[in-house]
Amino acid sequence: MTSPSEPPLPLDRAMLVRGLESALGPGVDEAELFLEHGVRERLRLERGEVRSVSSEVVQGVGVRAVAGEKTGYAHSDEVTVESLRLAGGTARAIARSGEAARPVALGTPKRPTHDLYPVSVAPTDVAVPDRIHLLEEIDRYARTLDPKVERVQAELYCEHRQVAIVSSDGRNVYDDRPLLRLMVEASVSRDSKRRVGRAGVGGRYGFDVLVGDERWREAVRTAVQRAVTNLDDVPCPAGEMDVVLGPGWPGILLHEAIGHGLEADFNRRGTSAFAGRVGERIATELCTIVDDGTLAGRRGSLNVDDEGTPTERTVLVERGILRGYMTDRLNARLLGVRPTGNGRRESYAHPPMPRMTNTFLLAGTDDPAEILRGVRRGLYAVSFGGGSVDIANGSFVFEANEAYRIEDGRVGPPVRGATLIGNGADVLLRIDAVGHDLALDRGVGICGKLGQTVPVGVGLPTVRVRGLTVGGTEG
Amino acid sequence: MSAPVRQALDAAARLGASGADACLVEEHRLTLEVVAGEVDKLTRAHDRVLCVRLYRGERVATVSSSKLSPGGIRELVGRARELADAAAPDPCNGLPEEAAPPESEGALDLYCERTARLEAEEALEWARAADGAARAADPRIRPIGWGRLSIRARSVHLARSDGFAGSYRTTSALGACMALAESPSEKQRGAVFRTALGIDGLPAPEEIGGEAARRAVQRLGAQKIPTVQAPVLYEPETAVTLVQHLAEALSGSTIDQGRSCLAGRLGDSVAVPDLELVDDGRLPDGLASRPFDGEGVATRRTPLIEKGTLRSYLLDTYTARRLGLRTTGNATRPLRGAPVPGPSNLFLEPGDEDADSIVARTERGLLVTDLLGFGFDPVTGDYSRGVAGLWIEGGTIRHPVQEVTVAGNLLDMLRGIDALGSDLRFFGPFGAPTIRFAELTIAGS
Repeated sequence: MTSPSEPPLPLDRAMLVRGLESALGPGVDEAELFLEHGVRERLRLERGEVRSVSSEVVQGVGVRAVAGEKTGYAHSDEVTVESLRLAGGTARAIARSGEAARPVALGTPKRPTHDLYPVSVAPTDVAVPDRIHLLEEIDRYARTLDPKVERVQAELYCEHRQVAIVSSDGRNVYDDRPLLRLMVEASVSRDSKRRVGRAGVGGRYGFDVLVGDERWREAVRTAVQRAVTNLDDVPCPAGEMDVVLGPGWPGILLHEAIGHGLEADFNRRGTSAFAGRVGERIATELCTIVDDGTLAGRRGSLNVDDEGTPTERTVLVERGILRGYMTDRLNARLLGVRPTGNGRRESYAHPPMPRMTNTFLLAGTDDPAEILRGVRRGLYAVSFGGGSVDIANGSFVFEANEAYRIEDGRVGPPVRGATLIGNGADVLLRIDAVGHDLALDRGVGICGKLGQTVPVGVGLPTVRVRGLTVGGTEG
Repeated sequence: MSAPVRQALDAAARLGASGADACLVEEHRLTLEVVAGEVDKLTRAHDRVLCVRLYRGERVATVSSSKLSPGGIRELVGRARELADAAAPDPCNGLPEEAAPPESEGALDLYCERTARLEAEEALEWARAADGAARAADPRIRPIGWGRLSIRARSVHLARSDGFAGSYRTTSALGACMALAESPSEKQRGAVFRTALGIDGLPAPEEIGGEAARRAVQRLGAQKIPTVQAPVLYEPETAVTLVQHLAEALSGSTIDQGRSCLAGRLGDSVAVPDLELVDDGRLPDGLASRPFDGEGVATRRTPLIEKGTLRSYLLDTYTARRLGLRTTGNATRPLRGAPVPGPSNLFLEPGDEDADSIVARTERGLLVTDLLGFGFDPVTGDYSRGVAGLWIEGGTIRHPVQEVTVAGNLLDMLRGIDALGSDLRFFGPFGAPTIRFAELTIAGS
């Protein structure tokens, strides 16, 4: 472990006050500094060896001035009095006139009240040979699982991020965030057909857990199994049909169908299909959906959001009724509600906005096998790649990468990958069975919105949707 | 040579590197967004990132940082050496054999001073004009969309331990508008993004605002249609997504990693004879044009598909060596991270036919105007995307369509193109004309 020549986050109180003052011009309600120091490292295994290694140091400060509905934002990779002064001056230009700003009331620095990721050795401080050894183990293990395995690729991403959020109205909180993400890809072939299976695992926990609990083995087994299964794939049917979604990662359904649609910025503005619909039925009685940033060790969790608000478990939909939105501070204020701890940003170089944390449907009581038996002809999808949504009209997609035909209530042959498309305003009204087998994803989710990516979690029990369009090729 | 780049190479040499390259990128960005005629967001960014690739014989590691004090750089290069020593050797690692020649004055004009110095006031006027034009275009447009102007000024300094050193500056401007159309039963958005090297290269903001409004309004009343196999047309705005999929399938790393359906197909006929796919790193006014690539190799025009035959992949030095080929000068260096092969200005050459004529002779089919998701698997070529568009019957547009998918396999699709428009247009660095596929599967109800 090298000892750096400069402290990771210079937090001199006088400097912070002057930085905040620079951003507090007339008309500015609130100024905020977001300081960040992070290390991100990637090791990639291919052809049995780790040849590709990289490390990034990301450090800087974001200065925000909020004036009513407006946001002024400037960032710099230098954290000095001068750079703060310049950035502050830029940020405050958002407001040209108005009441004189209140003076800075600098709070005392606090750690968050709960610690969801108490890691003793940051992932980026783990010895590189140990990380390489894990990746080589992955390669060896994958090849024992099936002789058809030809290529194995694996990438281990390690991150350690320290952030401090300091505002002119007394918020001053510091958080230390580890993050691990392992992706495995196995390529198999039989005759001249080749298929690739991908799986991953990760979260905010130590490398010792990834190795000690052998969480990595499941990712390898899943990747190989997925590839081998898909060797038998047949063309995917096309058209509207009943779809059963397996537990865990298919929770991306919620993320795309309603998740973005329930972010407060879109609703405050009125651009979301769910704007003005709090209190209305948007799902069947079987559906209670929450966004919960307080789950220990999860990729999507945070002790505090990126505005310093403690995270919460927010009930979005209760037995089918829309209860509320996910907010950051600005949108909470404009909507007249409490902030829910969903103000997130990709880095110091980005202003915050409402984002999801871990979004999932609570377990029901149905038996997953019964749920499948209730479908005469349809699709059973257990894993997906990505998804996307048009929040204005509510159309959303998610891309299946392991799915099977359902024929007379039984799981049939696997089908080639296809996109499923639906409408968020009605898809949850088509859910007529919810299993007791809630699972969260394995910790690899990335959410993109308006040019910013953040890590998220999703989850779902087995559910049945009566009527979703499947984008196959067999019409 | 810039000081941090020189310091990085010196530190690498002192630490026993057998070779190194260092790239310093400095960027200024200004973005102004207007909602309902008022400033909503103003952001300014300033980034400086140093990226160093350090070789210890056949071992390599890549590091980056914005801590550019002499101490910060020493630490950074020290970390690179530590990582390189832990990495496994690869005989294909190493600096390029080629070096771009010095650039003659004015050969590639990529920098607009006026754009680099743009003030917030002028950006505000531009964004306000776009947003205002959208709202004025149609009474169904609600005042909740936005107009946006963004400019970026960037300088790149790259040097290698073998003596290559070069630098260049670029600017770019993005003008955009999102309009939201509302009827009693639905909302539809129309978004337009236009890019150019400088703000004078952008269309007028009123034009962008008007088009965003038109695109939103044309979607009102969109229906799902029954599942059908039918012709599918892509207008240039959506056709560029196909060019992006081809970029992924033709990238040297996708090919080398055995993840491309186009691996091993050099010299094969992969598309209709009219199809020409070109990558041009020196295209005049090209958004991705630059004098040398991310490793200091000369950029150039590379035909990738010529008369329907696959001629080349997109390669950097490493992937070229892996495949027994020569670099095509397509090393792309992200702001942080190792160079990978990627497209520069990538486009399909236009055909001869007017786009309106292609529509007019379409008996029935779907014109795709919007896409959702990613939906392309480069390993198999499988293509399945959520779309919205306009249904054509008897050569005329009948009604808007939404919540359907279009599916096929890219390898079949390239051979199933039966019309290429003369309307080549660029969106960012990707360009395409109108394309018609004879038959794809449209999944709906």
